Amino acid sequence: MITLALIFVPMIVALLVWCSAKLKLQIALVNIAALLHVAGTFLLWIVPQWDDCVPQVVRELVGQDMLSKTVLSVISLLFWLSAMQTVRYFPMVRKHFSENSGKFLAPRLVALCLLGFLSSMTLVASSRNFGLLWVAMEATTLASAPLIIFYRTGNSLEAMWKYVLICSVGIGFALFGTMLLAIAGGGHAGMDMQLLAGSELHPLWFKAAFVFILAGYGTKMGLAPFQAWMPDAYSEAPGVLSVLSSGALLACSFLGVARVLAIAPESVRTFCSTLLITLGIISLALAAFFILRQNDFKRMLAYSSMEHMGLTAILWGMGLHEVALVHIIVHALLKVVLFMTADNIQLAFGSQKIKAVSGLLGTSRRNGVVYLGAILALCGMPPSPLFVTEMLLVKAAGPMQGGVLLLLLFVVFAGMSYHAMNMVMGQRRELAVPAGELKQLEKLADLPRCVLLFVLLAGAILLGWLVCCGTVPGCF
Amino acid sequence: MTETSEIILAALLLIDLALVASSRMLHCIHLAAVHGLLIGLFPLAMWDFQNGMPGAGVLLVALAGGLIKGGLLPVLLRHAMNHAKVKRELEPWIGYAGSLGVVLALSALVFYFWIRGGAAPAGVPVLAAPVAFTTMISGLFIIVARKKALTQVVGFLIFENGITVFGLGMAVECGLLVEMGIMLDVLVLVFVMGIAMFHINREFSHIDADRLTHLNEIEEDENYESGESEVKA
Repeated sequence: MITLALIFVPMIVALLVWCSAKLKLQIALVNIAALLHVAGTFLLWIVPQWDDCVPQVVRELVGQDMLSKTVLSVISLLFWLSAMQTVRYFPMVRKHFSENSGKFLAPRLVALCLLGFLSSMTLVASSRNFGLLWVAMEATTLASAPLIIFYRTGNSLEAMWKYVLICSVGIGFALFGTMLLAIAGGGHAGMDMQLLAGSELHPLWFKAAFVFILAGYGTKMGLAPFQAWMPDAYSEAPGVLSVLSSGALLACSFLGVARVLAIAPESVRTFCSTLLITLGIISLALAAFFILRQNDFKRMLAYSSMEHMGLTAILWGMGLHEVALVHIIVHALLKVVLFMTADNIQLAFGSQKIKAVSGLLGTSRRNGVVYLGAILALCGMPPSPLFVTEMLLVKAAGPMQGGVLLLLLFVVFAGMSYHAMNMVMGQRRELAVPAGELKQLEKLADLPRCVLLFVLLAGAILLGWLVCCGTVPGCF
Repeated sequence: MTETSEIILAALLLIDLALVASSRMLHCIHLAAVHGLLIGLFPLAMWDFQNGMPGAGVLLVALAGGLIKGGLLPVLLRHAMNHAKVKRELEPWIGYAGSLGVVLALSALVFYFWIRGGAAPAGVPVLAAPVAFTTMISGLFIIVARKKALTQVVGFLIFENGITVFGLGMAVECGLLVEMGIMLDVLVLVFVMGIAMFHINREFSHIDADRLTHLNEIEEDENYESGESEVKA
């Protein structure tokens, strides 16, 4: 029952938003939907039995388990944080744009798309049927596409076109893979996850299905070599969407791959895991290369998402499932911090080029400190929890593979910290906004700052546990 | 009713070939419409009428498929084309004879491997899978080998039709909800793409996807960038 409520409440609120005319009311409604979603997800953890009182037909289509609840929590938390940020962000952007005669998308449409995005992501996380999972995944593309053209420029249109076309074709492959999966199950199980898991799957058909599904959902997840849409979309979209897309949507797409891998027959499991690990390493290597020669700080964050999805794929392929989940959660939270501050910096300097920004510490101190701290945490600097996950990964990968991973991680660290240092230190640049607006931009850094502090605290506890007990709870 | 389904599959194959060889945008849209109508008829042709009339689910899938893919989407595309004041010639990357050659060769390979591999499950039309693959390949080919955004949408539609033919032809049980969901997704997708095309046309006064190259890793010429940042700032 809770799952159904989580899927339908955003839709109902979307109807209310459709009828409301005032910006404040629309923002309030989005925040109410976010709070209800968080409350619902919390209830799923503490009273899971409340979710069972639905007819059998519904239970075959949607339901919860450990993995889906984790992903759902990420979605819920990220949406809540984004919704809170919109309270200050939207009125400010509106004022900013009306003064500079720039065009941006109508706030009502933004709110509608955000709620549609939340609903479809919830459906992705809770679906129990591979067909339904596909339908929901495509719906996430459609709901998020209009958000990319929030700033109405030629560049954002181009980014949106690439996003819609590349993701749709990619997801088309996933649909084909899903059909192959149904054939692998012999046709009796249809696309039902539990029935497929219980039936004897034809290894050859399953192999083909996995390859296509990995290509399809891998496109959405930003795994190399299917990542072409990602840097464009993230660099042109407003921070609020980039946060949801980079943290929650990537986790959803990853869930699609993980679900298929979970039902793999014993004989092809090694093949599937190896494929996943290989794509992960290629993503990591490509991301490292692109980060080094980056000239745009929002694109850099997009490539960092690609890097972390690669790491998650490697972790999952190696069987370190709990570590991979921790990695996904922490990466999502840090991306909240980074995309939100990147948005502030972009507004303050009127550009998203790295060379256009310098001396942040002197001009916009809060944004600068939070940005640098989050970049370092994202690169796995202790006490970031990513340090723990990456350390466990390198340890499990063995000397050869571990060495390669460590080298690539070092390249990413060098590239990201070099660019971040250039932005934060150095000579002060003249800002594109007046002093009053800068103050507001500084205030916008409050929420990311709290999230960053929380992440670092969690990391310190995790690290302390590791040092004291020698193990992390739930792993090894 | 296997004969009817085989005839439909053969017709789909011919339309694929005609599509990659056609040079006018309107002709492409018309061919895609016929393609969609045939997809709508396909589930009915697959039905064994000796076992009674098809159920409401099959009829609904056929009707919705025919209406959406054969009627609504082509009308939407035509509308988008009329609004975008562009040359109706396709200006392909690869010439029409070359395109036909490539798709024919790939389709021959698909047929050869499918029949040699003998992986076909019993009780499904022999042509179904190879025709589905050829349709998917033609769709992808149109997406990459033609320059206009509109032809890319037509290519995507054909690609999606190929997947549908595969699902229907191999008798994959999706469930009514999923079938309808897939159709709704495709409908909204083409709608979103149509709107995007409208805006692209207004912003750049063309819908040539090959000229959408401002976003890349290499430093752009400064004028364009500064112009953009002014709008943003």
